[in-house]
Amino acid sequence: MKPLFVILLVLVILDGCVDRLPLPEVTTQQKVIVDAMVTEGAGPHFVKLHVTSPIGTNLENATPLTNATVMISDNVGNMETLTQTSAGVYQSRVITGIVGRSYKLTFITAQNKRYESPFEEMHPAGSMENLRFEYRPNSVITGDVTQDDAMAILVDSRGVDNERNFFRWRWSGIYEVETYPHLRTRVEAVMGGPPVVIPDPLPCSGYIVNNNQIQQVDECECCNCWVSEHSSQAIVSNNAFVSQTAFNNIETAELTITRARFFKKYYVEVEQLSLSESAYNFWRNVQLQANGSQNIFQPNIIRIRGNMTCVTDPTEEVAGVFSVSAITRIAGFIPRNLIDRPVLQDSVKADCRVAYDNSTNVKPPFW
Amino acid sequence: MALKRILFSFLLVASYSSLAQGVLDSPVEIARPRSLHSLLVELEKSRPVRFYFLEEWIEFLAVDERQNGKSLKVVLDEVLAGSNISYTFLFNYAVILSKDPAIDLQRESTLRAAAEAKKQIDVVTLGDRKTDYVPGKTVRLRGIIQSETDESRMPGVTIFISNLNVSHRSDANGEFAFTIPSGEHVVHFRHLNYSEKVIDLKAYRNGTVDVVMHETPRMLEEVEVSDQAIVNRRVGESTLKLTDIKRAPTFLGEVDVIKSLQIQSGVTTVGEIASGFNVRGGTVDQNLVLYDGTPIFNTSHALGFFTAFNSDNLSAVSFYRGGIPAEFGGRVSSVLNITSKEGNYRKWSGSGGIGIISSYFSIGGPVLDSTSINVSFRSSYSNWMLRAAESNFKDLNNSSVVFYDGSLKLAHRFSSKTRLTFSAYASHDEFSLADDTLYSWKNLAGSLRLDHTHRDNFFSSLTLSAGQYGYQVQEPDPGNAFKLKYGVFYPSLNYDVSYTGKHAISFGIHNTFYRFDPGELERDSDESSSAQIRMPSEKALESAIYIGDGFDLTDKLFVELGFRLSMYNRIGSATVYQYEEGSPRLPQNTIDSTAYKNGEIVKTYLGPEPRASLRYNIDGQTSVKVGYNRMYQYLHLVTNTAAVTPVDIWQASNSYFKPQIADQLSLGVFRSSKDNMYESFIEGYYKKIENVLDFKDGAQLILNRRLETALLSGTGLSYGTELSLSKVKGRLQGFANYTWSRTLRQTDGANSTESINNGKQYAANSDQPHVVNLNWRYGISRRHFFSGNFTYHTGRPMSVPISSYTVDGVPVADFGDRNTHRIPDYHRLDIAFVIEGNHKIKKPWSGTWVFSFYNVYARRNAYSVFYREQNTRLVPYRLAIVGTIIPSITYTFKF
Repeated sequence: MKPLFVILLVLVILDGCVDRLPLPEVTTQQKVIVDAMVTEGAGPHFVKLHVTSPIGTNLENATPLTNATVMISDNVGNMETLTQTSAGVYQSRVITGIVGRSYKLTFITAQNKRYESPFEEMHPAGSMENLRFEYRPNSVITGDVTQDDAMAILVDSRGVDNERNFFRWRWSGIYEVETYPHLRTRVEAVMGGPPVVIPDPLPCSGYIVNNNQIQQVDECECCNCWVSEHSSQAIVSNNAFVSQTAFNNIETAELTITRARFFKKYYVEVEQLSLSESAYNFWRNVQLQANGSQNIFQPNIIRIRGNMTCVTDPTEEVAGVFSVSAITRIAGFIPRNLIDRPVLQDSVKADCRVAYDNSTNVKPPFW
Repeated sequence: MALKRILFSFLLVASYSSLAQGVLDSPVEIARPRSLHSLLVELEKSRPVRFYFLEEWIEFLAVDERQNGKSLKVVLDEVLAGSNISYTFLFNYAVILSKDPAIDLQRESTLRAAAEAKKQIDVVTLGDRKTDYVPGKTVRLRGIIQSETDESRMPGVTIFISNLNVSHRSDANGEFAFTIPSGEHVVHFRHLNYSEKVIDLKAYRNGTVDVVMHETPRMLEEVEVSDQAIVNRRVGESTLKLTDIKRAPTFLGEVDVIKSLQIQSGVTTVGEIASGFNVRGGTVDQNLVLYDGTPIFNTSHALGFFTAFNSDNLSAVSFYRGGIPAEFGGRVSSVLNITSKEGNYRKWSGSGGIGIISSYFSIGGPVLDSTSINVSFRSSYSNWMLRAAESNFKDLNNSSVVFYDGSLKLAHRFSSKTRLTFSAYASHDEFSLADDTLYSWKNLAGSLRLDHTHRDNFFSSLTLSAGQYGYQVQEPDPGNAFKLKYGVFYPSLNYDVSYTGKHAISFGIHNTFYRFDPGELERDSDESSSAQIRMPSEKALESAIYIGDGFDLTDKLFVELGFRLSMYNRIGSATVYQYEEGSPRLPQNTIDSTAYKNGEIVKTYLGPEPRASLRYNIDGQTSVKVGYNRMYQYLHLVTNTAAVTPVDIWQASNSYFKPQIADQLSLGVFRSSKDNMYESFIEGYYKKIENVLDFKDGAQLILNRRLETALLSGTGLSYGTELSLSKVKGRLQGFANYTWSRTLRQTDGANSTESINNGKQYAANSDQPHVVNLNWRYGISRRHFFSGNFTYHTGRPMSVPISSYTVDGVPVADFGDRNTHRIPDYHRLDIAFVIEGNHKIKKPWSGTWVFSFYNVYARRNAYSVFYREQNTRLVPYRLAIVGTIIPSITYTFKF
C-alpha cells in the first residue's frame, strides 16, 4: 500500500503542485528530547539528550543537554551511571542488554529535574530471511513533478512465536565514489592578455605540476571514497494486518538512483529492531505523521508522545523515546545490472572526502 | 368612461368632504332579502340622500333581515366588507361608492405580461358572480397537477397567486388544496423544467381546478423557473435548480449536484476535491443524503473528485440545513433529498452527455399500459485518459481510476389513486496506482413504494427499501496479498401519511435495521503473510414515529410543529468491556466484560426530537422565520482525516458511543421585491452537537475490536450569520452570498490523553469564518449563456509544529495544539459558455455544448500544508491540487 498514492495522480493530471511556504509564526516550546537505546549485548549504549529546535532550523545543531546524571538500570538490580563523552551524549560501559530483561532510563539535569522511563522489556529480534532489490523507473517524485528512477530495498522477516513481534527496520548503505582532484584547475590573470587556465591538482591527488603538465608522483588519497548513509524514515511492522510471525516484502528504503550512488556498487545493511509496545507506538506515530503529511485526505495531526516523563513536573512534556531492542541484520550488494540504463559518472574535481558528506577514504574490509 | 367620470367627481369633491353623518346614522328597514341596488334606490326615494355608483359594481351584493334596524352606515360597512368597493359621504346627502382600480389594473397587467411572454393562460370560472359571489368570504380550491408528458402527478409544484402574493405547493401526490378570498385571481403554476401555466381564475365558490403542465423541451430562460418564493419558503430550505446546475461551470466537464450545493449559504467543504459537504459546521457524515428515500453512505466518485449521482437523471433536489421537517431523521446537520426521474408514460425519450471523464445515457418510456421505465447509466473512461497521458511516470500509466453508476425506475399506475414505484441505484468505484493496492467501493439502493390517495386530500405511502455500502481493499503483492472488506446493509420499512387541509398534517413510522460487517481481512495468496481476521458483525435497529402539523395561525403567521420520537437498539451478539474507573480507557485497563447473546438488547437510546418552524409574513414581500430542531444521529463516521476517505468506517452507537444530539435554532428575515425578481435574506443560527467523536493520536481505526479505546467524545458548537442576495429573473440571474460563522469543538476527557488541546475549545476542520460566493448566468441570447462562479473562503484550520528534533536520525515534527493556524485563504473563478440547440419544441434532437474553464486565473490554492525534511531542516510546503486553469468541454443531448 502506497501512502502517497493519490498525490501522483493529482500532480500529473491537474498540474497540481508543491510550493515551499514561509515558516509560520509560532512560539517555540522547548522540550527535552531523549534519543536513547539499549541494544542486545554489551554495548556501549548511547543516550543523547537535547532540547527541541525551532522549526526550520538545522536539526543537526540541536542544543545539547549537558552535565546530566544519566542512569540505566535493569529489572535484576543492575544499574550504571553513564559517562558524558561529548556534549549531550552519554555512553555506557558495563550494562548489558539481554533479551527478556527490562531496562529503565533515568536522568537528572543540572537544574535537578528528574526524568524517567518505565521498565521496557527487551524482546527477541526474530530473523531476516531475504534481502531483495527492485528497480523502479520513474517512481520517485522530487520537488514538483519531476521524477527519478529508484531502487527499492525489500526484506522478508520472521518474528518469534508467542511474542508480539513489534519491529522497526532501519538501513544503512555504503557506496563508492570516484573524484578527479588531479584535474583541478585555476584561472590566473595575465598582464596584457586574456586569463589563462592552468592545472592545479590537489596535493592529496598524488599529482604535481611539472612544466605546466601534471605528473603523478604518489598514490591518490582522495580519489576514491566510501560514502555512508542511513535511513531517515520510521518504518515499523503493521502488526494489525499480518500474521504474527511473517513480514514479507517490507520496503525498508527506496533509493533515488543518482550518478554517485550507483556509478559503482552499493552495499546495504538492513537491521530489524525489536520494540517494546510503548516504543513501537512512538515509532508508529512517527511513521504515520510522515506518511500523512502529503496524503490527499488530510489526516489530522498526531502529537507524538514517547515513554519518558518528568517526575519533578508531571505536566512537562518530554519528546523522544527510550528504546530497548534486540537487533538482527541482513546485508548485501545491490547488483549494478539491475538498472536497465547507463548511469553516467559525476566528474567532480575535488577531494572526495570533502565533496561528499559522511565519506571516508578508508575502504571497508568487506569491499 | 362612466368609471372615469365617477372617479373624477370623487376626486373633485373629496377636498370638500364633511363629517356630517346624520343620514348614515338613521336605521334602515329590511324586511326580506333583496339586492343592495334596490335598497339604495328605495332609500333615495324616501330619504334626503343620493347614491352615486355604477350598477354593475353592486349587482351581486345583497342584504337581508339580519341587517334590519341597523344604521345605513353599518349596513354599507357589512355589505361592502371584503369587496374592493368603498364609499364616501359628502355634503350631508351624497354617498359616493367608488371602486379601487388598482387591483383590476394589476391583474390585467399580470395577464397581459403572461400573454406577451407566450405563457399558456387558461380561464377558469367557479360559480356565478351574480349568485355565488360573497365579498369577504373565502372559497376552497383543490386540484391535481399532472404532467402532460406522462400523466404523472407532479409533487412540489409552486402555486403562486400573484395578486395576493402568496404561494402554496403541491403535495407528494401532486395534489393541492387551499383557501383564497372569493373573487378574481391570477394563479401561476411553476415547476422546474416545465412551462409556466397561468390561470385567470374567477372563484366565487369552492371548486376543483385540475392542471396539466407541459414539459419544457429546452432550458427556458425567459420562463421563470423559480422555486417557491423566498418569503414563503421554510427556514433553512432551498431547492436546487437543475437547469442552473447544468449551465454552471464544471470541473473536468462533470455536472455535479454536490459541487453546486457547496456554494449555497451555510455549506462548505474542507478541500477543493473533498468528498461530501459540510453544513453549518457539521461533518460530512451528519448529512442525510436520500436517493428516492434510501440513504446513501458515500456520495463520491474517484475519491471525492466527482459526485456519485448523474445529474441528468434527477428530477428534484431539496436541501434542508435548518428547520428540518419531522419526517426526516437520523442525521444531525442537513437533509439532501434527491428524487430520480420517472419514465414517460406515453412516448420514449432519452438524453445523454459526453464529457472528458465520463459519459452517460438515459432512456425512458412506456413498457406496458400504465407502466413506465427509466434507465440511466454513466461510466468513466478515465483509465483511457490515464494511459494516454504522456507521462514518464510508470505509476501513472499503470494506474486505474474507474467508476460507474446506474439507476432504474419503474412506475406502475393501478388506478388514478394507486401507484407502485420501484427505484434502484448502484454506484461503483475502483482506484489503483501502478498495479498496487486496489481500492473499490460501492453503493446499492433499492426501494419499492406504494402510493395511495384515500381521499382528495388524504395520502399515504408505504416504502420498503434496502441499501448497502461497502468497500474492499485488495493487495496484489503475493507475499502480503490480502482483501480487506467492510460493509453495511440496511433494509427499512416506512409508512408515511399526509393530510392536506387547513392543517397540513403528516405522520408516519420508520424502521431501519442495520447490519455492519466492520472488517474482514482475508489472505489472498498461499504465500501471503496477511493475517486472517473477521470482526464480529454488529446489528442495530433504528425506529421512529413522527407527526407534523402545518397551519395558518393567523393570516400572516404560519406555524409548523413537529415531533419525532426515535428509538435505537443495539442488538447482540456483542461483548462490552468495562474499564477501570478513573483510568484512561485502554485495553490494559479492562476490568470486566459482558457478553450478549444473538438478538439480545445491548443498549437502548430514546430520542425525543421536537421541531418547530414559524413564518410571519409581514407584508407579502417580507417574512420573518424562526426554526428550531433537535435531531439524533445513531451512526458515526469514524475517521481521522479532514476529508472523508473511501475506506472510513461507520460505527453504530453502543454503550460507549452515545448518539449525536444536535439542537439548532435559526432566525431569519427574508424579502422578495420587484415581483419576486430579487430575493434576499439574512439568517442566523446557533447549533450545538453533543457526543461528536474524535480520535486519539495514532489510533488504529481499522480492524479494531475495541474502538472505544481509540476514540474520544466531545461537543461541537457552530454559530453564524448568512446573507444572500439573488436575482432570479431576467437575462442576468445569479446570487451573492456571504457567511460569517464559527465552528468549534471541545473534547475534555478525564485525563490529558483523553483531551484535545487541554480540554479547551478549538476550531474544527470545517471552520471557515468568512465565505463569499458569487454566481451568475447571463443570457446572451435565448441559446447562448455566459455563466460563472467566484468563491472565496478563509483557509481551513491546520496544526503546525512548534519545534522539531531527530531520534535515531529520523526527523520528527513536534506539533502544538490542534488547529491553531490556517492554511492560506482560498479563492477561485470559474466561467462557462453554454450553447444550446435551437428551441423548436417538436425537434427530434436537441444538443447543448458547455465550454468550462475551472480556476480561470490558475491560482495555486493550498489544499494542505505539510512539512518535510530538506537539508536537515523541516520546512513547510503547500500542496495545491489544481495548479492551473482546467478547460473542459461537454456535449449533452436530448431526443
